[in-house]
Amino acid sequence: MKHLYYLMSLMLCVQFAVAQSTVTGNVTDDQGVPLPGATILEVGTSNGTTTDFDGNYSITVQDGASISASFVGYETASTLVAGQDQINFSLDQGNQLEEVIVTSLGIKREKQALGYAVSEVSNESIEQRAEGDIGRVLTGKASGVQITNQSGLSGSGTSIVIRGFNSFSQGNQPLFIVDGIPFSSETNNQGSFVDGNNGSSRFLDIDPNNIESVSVLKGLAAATLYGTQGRNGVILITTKSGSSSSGEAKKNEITINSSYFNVEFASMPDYQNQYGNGFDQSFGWFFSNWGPSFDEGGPAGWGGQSSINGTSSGTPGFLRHPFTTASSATGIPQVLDALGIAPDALYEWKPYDSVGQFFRTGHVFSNNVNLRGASSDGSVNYNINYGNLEDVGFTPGNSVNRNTLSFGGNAKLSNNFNVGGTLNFTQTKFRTPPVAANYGSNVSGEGASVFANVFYTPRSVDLMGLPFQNPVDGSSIYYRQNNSIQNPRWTVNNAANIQNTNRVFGGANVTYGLSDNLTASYRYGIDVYSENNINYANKGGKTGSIVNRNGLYETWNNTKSIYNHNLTLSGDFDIDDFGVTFNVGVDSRSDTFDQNGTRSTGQQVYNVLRHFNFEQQDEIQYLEKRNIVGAFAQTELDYNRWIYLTLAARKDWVSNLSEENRSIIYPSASASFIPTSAFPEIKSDFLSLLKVRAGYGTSANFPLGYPIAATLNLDTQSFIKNGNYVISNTSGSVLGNPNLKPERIDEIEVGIEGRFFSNRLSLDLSIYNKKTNDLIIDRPLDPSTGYTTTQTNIGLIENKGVELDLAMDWIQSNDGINWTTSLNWSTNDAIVIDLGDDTDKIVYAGFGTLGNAAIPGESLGTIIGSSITRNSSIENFRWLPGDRIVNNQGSYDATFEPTIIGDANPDWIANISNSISYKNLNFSFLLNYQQGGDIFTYTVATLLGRGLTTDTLDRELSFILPGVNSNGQQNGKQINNSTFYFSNVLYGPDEMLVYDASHWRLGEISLSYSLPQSMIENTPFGNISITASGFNLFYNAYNTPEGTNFDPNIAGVGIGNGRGFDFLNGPSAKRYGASLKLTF
Amino acid sequence: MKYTKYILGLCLSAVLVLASCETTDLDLTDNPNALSPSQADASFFLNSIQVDFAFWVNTMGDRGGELTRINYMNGRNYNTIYSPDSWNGVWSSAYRGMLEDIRLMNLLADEAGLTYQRGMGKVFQAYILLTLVDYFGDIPYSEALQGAEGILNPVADSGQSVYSAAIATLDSAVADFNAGGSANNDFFYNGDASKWIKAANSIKKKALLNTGDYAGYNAITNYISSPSDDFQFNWGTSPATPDTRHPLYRSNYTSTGGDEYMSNWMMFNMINGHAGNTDPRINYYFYRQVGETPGFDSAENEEVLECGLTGYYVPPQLRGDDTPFCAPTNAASKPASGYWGRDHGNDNGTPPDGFLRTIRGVYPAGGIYDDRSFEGQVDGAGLAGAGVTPVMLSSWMHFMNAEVAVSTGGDPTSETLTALEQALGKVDEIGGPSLSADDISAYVAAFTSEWNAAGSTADKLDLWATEYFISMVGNGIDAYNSYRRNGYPRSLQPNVEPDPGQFPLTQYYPANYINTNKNATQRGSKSDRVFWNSNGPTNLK
Repeated sequence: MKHLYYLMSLMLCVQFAVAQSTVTGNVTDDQGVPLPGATILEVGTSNGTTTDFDGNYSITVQDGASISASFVGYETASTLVAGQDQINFSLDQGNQLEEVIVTSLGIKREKQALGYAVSEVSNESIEQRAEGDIGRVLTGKASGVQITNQSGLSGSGTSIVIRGFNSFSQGNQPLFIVDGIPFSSETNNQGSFVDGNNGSSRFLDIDPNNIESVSVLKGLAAATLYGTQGRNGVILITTKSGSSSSGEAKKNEITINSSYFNVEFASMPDYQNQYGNGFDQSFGWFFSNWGPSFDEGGPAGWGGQSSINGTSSGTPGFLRHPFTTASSATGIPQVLDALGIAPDALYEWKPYDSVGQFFRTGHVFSNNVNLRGASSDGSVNYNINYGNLEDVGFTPGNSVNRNTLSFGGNAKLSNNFNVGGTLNFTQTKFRTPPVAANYGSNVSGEGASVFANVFYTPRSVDLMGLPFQNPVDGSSIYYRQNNSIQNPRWTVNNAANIQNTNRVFGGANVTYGLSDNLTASYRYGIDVYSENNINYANKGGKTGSIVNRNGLYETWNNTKSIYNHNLTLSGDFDIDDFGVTFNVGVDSRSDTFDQNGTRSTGQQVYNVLRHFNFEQQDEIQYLEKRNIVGAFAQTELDYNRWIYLTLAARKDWVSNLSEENRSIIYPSASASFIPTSAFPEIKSDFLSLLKVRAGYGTSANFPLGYPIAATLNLDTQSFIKNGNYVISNTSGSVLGNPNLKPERIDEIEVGIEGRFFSNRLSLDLSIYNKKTNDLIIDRPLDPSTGYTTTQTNIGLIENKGVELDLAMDWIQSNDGINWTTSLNWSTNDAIVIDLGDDTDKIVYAGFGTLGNAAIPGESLGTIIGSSITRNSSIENFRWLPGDRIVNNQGSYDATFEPTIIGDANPDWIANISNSISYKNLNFSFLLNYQQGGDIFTYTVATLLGRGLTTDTLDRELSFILPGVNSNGQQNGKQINNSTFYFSNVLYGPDEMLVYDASHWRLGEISLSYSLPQSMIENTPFGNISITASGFNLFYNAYNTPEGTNFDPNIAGVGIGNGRGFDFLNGPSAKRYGASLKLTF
Repeated sequence: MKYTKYILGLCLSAVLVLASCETTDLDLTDNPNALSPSQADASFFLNSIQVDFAFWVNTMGDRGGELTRINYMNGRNYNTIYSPDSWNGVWSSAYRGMLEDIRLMNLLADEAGLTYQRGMGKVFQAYILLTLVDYFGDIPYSEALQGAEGILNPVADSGQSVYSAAIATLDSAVADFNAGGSANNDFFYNGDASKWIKAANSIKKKALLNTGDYAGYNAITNYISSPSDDFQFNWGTSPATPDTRHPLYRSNYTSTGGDEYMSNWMMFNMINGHAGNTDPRINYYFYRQVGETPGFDSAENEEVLECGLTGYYVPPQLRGDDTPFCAPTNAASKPASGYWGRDHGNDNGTPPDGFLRTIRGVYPAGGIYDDRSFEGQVDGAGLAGAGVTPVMLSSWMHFMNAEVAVSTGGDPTSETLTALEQALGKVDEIGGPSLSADDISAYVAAFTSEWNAAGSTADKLDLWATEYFISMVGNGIDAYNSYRRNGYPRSLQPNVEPDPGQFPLTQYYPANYINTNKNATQRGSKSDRVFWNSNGPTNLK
C-alpha cells in the first residue's frame, strides 16, 4: 500500500477546522407511523444516514447546514440546523422520484436528477428465493433485461442481456459491480456446447440474501464512468455488508433467514402409454418408440409380433429379456449370473414410467444470518453476514453447495477521514452429470450427456428396473442388443463435471473531506477466485470418442483475478439557484485469467480417479492478461432542482491492441427537466409529478485475448512414430490484425416519468436507439488465404427499444387491504445494418450451417439452417413466396445452403407483479410473458420424432405433407407415421425444428405472514415472518406441441452470443417451499 | 481557483499510484499461449504436414471410394450428398494446414539448404493440388496463401493451369531429391530419395493420364513399378493422446461394434470372383462377425436386417443377376455366409447390428483377419489400427498402364495381369496369414480365363476396372477419376433410389470457400466437368 501513503501524506498536509454538531430525531409519515429506512441527508453533501427500525436517526453535520429527510413515496422535507439537537420530520406522501439511488462509481443521486433510466430492485424482491443465483432471481424484475437459464440444472449458467446485443463477436453480458468493486461474472464452461458446457455463471458466488439492493444501469449515459466495462449495462449490487455507512442505526440487529424448497422437474412431457419400442409398428430394440401397441389386438397389436406373442419367449405378452439376447461381444450374456438374470428370463411388454422415476425431487435448504451494529455515537458500524445454500437438483448427481461469509464496516474518523471496507469469502461447489448437445440419438460430440438418452427412453424400456452396470468390469449396460446406448443411470454414477470455487472479493476505501465541498476518495478492489474444475468419465462408457469410453480425467484450475484502483475527487457547490457537482478521477483495472491443469486418458483401474491411474497425460494451460486504464470526469449542474444537466467523459487505454489503436475517448450528456417543479401550477389531482429526460451516451468495446499477435502452434504429441512422440509445428489459423481498433457504441435515449391520480399510478417510459460502429468481427477467411479467421472492424448494428414501467396502487389503506400491481414491458429490435463489402453473412454461434447469423437488414439473433426446398428462388437468404416441394418418397428435402429459418429475438417481454396485503398477510405473484421469438429445439423434435408423447398417438393412419411434387402438382403421396415424424419432423430440414417460443409463466407466487408486534412484544424478537412461495410453478409455451411441455427458457449453446437453440440440453425446474425470517 | 493545487496534487498522486503498478502495463500484445512464427522449426513443420497428409488422403479417398462403390455411400440423392459444408474440413486442412505449412517450411528449408524436406513438401503439394482440381475444378492457386499480404479473397485459377503448376512442382521435387540431403523424419520412405523420385514421377504419370497425354505418360519410366516402392502411410495403435490408429479402424472397431457399413457391391464381386473362385483377398478386406446372414442363410430378422424379409420391396434397377441387393448376393436363395453391408445409397436408420454386420478386416484398416471365428469385435482387436493408407501403389500404376495401352491401341493384358498379381500380393503385407503363391496364381488363372473369354474390349475393361477398384480399397481418389475418365466398370450397383439424379462429375465447392471469398461462386450443379474430363462418358450411374 505504499501508493496510498503518498496520497495520504498529501492530503494530511492540508488542515481544516469546521464546527460540527450531532442531530438526532425521528421520521414518521403524516399519520405518525415511523418510517424505517428513510434517508437523512446533509443537503448539498454526500453525508447521510438512514433511519432505523423505529424511524430514529442520528447525524453529524456542520453548523448552518440543512438536513433533509426523504422516503420512497413521500415528499422530502428539509430543515436548517441552527443549534437544535433534535429534529423530527413528518413526511407527506408524494413524490417518489426524490428517492436517492446509487449510480455509477457509487455516486448517490436523486432519481429526479438522472437523465437516463435506472431500475432499482430492493432486497424484498431478492431474498428468501429458491434460486441461489442472483441472475435468475432478477428475472422479470427490471424492464429491458432479458434473463435466460442455460438449463434447469441447479448451478447451471445464466445469461443476462440488457437492451439487446451490442456486438456479436464480443461479450454481451453486463458488468457486475459489488459494493463498488468490479466483480467477475463470467461463465467458464467446461468444453464447448457440443461436448458439454457445464459451468456456473460466477455471480452464483453472491448470496442473494446478503443483498441490500440492486440498481440496473441500462443506458450508456448511465454507465459512462465505467468505461468499456459498462458498455453492456451495469448491475450494481450493494450488499448488506457494503451498505453500512457511518452515522447509521445505533440499534444492533440480527436477522435470520431460513428457507426450504422442493425442486422438481417442471417440463415433464406427457408420454403416451399406447405404443412401445420399435419401428413401423414392429418390435425391435430401437431408439424409437414406433413399435407395436400395448394392446394385443388390432392392426398394431402385439399379438402379431413373434417376439412378443409367445412365439419366441413362450409366454404371450412377454419378450425375452434384452440382456439374454444381447450380442456376446457386449459382455452382457456372460454376466447374467452375476446380474441375477436367468438365461430364460422374460420381460413384460408394457409401458414403464422410466423418465418420471429417473428424476427425483431435489431440495434447496438455505440459511442466512445477518448481524449489524454500530458504536453508540454511530461513527463506527459493521455488518457480518453468513449464508449457506444447499441446492440439490432434480437431476440425479446435480447439486450446489455454497458458503458465503461477508464482513463490512465503516468508520468516520475525527480528522475528516471516512474509511470503509468489505471482505467476502465464498466457497461454491457445483456438481452435475455431463450435459452435451444431442440430436435425438446419443450425443453428437466426444463425451456423454445425462439427458441424451433419458427423454426418448422407449415406453416399453424399464430404465429404472434394468441393471445399469456390468458387475465385472463396471461398464455401462442397457437394452440395445449391441449395447450402443450409454445407460443414463450409468452416466450419473460414473461421470461428472465439478467446479469447486473459492473466492475472495472486497475492497477498502478512504474518503477525505478536503473542505465542505470537496472530497477525495480512493478505492482499492480485489476479486480473486480459484475455480477447481474436474471432468471425469470412468471407462466403460458407450458414447462419444474412444477417449471417453476408455476413461477420461481432467483437472484444472482457473484462477481469475481483478485488481482495481480508483481515485476520485468530488465537489459539490451551490451558487444561488445553481448547483454544481463534479467528479474527476482515474481508474485502473487488471484482469488475469490463468488456467493450469492436466488431462489424463486411458483409465487403468475402474473408478480410481487419480492421474496416476491413467495411461497418458496432456497439459491444459491458458493465460490471458489485460489491463485497462481510464480517466474520467463528470459534472452535474442544476437550476433550482428542476432542471439538471450531466456531462461526462472517459478515456480508456487497453493493453492488447497496437499503440495507435489502444485508446478511445467517449463522452456522454444527459438532462432532466421536471415541469411539475418548474411550474407547480400544473400539478393536480390527476398529475402529481412529471419528469422528462434525454441522454446521449457512448462507450467502447475492446477485444479480449491477443488479436494482433501472429502465432505458431506446437504440439508435442501430434503422432507417434517408432515409439516416439512426433512434435509438430503448424501455422496459426488466426490472422493477427494490428489495425484492429475498439468498437464504438453510441446511444440516445429519451424518457418520461410521471405520477398520476395522487401518486397512485406511476409511469416510467424510455425509448432508446443504440448503434455499434466499427464492429469487431471474427471474420471467417477462406482457408486458401492461409488463415481461417481474423478480427476486423466492419459494420454497424443498431438496437432500438422501448421500456415501460407502470405501477398502480389499486387500493391503499392504512390497516385494510392494499393492492399494488406493477408492470414492466420492453421490446428491443436489433438489426444488422452493415457488414462491409466482403461478407453478406457471418455465422457467429452454432455451426456453420446451423446457427445464429448476422445478415444485413436482418435481426441480430436470426437463426439460419437448412430449409424445405421450394419451387421459388432464395434472395438474401429468404425464399420468395413459393410452394414446398415434396420428393418422390413423400418427404421434404433440405437445402444445403442455409436460409433464414427463425429469429430468436422476442417481439416483446412483459412482467406483471401483484402484491395484495391485508394487515399482516401479504400475497404476491409475478407473471412473465414473452411474445414471439423462435427456438430451434431437438427436445420437441425428438419427443415427436421418436413417437413418445401424446401428440403422436394418432399414428395408424397415413400422412400427406403439404406442398407440391416435382411436377408442380399438389402432393398426394402418403407416408406413414415414422416417415412423417422421424424422417421429416426430427431428421428433416432444420426448418421443421423451429417453433415459436411465446410463453407465459407464473414466475413467483408467495404468501407471507408477519406475526403482529403484540404477539412478540415480550420475546427477544423484533420481527417474525413466514412465507410460503413457489417458483416457475406453471408455464405454457402454447405454440409448441402440447404433449412435449417444452420450456423455451433455455440457452442450448451456452452463455454466449448464441440464442434460440436447444439440443436436448435439459429441462426446467420448479421450486416451492417455505421460509422463515426472524429479527432480534 | 483555490483548489487548483489540490487537484494538481491529486493528479500527481494518481500518477504515482498508477504508474508503478503492474495494473497499468499497456504492452501485453504477445500471445503467451502459442509460439511466435520466428520460433518455427522446419522438421516440426514436416512432421505435421506428413500426418495431415495421411488423414487428408484418407478422407478424400474415402469419398472417392463411396462414389465408386468401393465403400458404401449413404444418400439416395446425388445432388444432396456431400453438401458444401461437408468439404470444409478438407479444404481447410489442405490450404490453411498443409499448403501454408509447406510454404513456411520452404522458407526455412531454402535458408538451411534442406532440399530433401523441400522435395517432400513439393510432392505433397502437387498431390493435394491435383486432387483438389479433380474434385472441384478451378481453385485458388496463384493468389492463395497471401492473407498476410492482404489478399483475403484469392481468385481461382483454371484447373488446367493448376495441373500444369503441380506437374512443374513434381519436376522441381525430383530436382530437389537429386540435390542430395536426407530427413530422419521421413514417414513414407525413411530417407530414400530414389523412392521419392519414383513417387513424384508416378503422381505425374497419373496427372498426365487424366489429361490424356499418353506420350508424356509413356515417356516416364522411373516410377513405382514394384510393390517395394509403394507410396503409403503406416498408422499406429495408440487410441488416445494422440490417436494414431487408421481412421477406418476407428469407425469399425468400437466398444459397441461396427459404425460403418461395407459395400455390398464390393463384397459381391469378391465372393463371386472369377470362374467360381472367390477372391482370396476377401478374408483380409472383410471380417464377418457372424456366420449367417438373416433372411439369406438364417431366419429372417426384421430387427437387424429388414431388407432380408420375404416380400421386401426390391427397387427394379436392383433386380438382376449382375447386382446384389441387401446382402452381397443377388437372390435370397443364394448364401451370403454372414456377409452383409449396405446397398449404394441406402439411407435407412441404424438397427442394433454393430456386432453382426460385416466390418473391415486386416487390410488396409489394421483390423482382424477373417478366420471364420465369427465373433463380435471391439476396439483393440486385430492389429489395433496399425493399417496403411495407400497414396500410390505399384499395382495401380500397372492398372493405369493397361488403360494407356488400350487408349493407344495396344494390348492391356500383360499389364492387367501384373497389376492383379501385385494387388493380390499386397493384402498380407501388414498382417494375417501370408497369402500363398498358389492361391494368387489360381485366382489370376481364373481371372485370365474370364479375360480371355471376354468378347470385347469393353467386357475386358469391365474386368479390368472391377479389379482396379478392388485394389483401391483404402483410397478411392483414383477410382473416382478413372470412373469419370472411362466409365468402367459398367456393372456398378445402381443407387437404391431409382432416380438419384446426375452422378457427380464434380463436387460443390466447400462452404468455407464460397461463403468467405467474394471472388468465389458456387457451381450450379454437380454436372460441371473437370477440365480434363470434357469428353468423358455420360452414362455414369
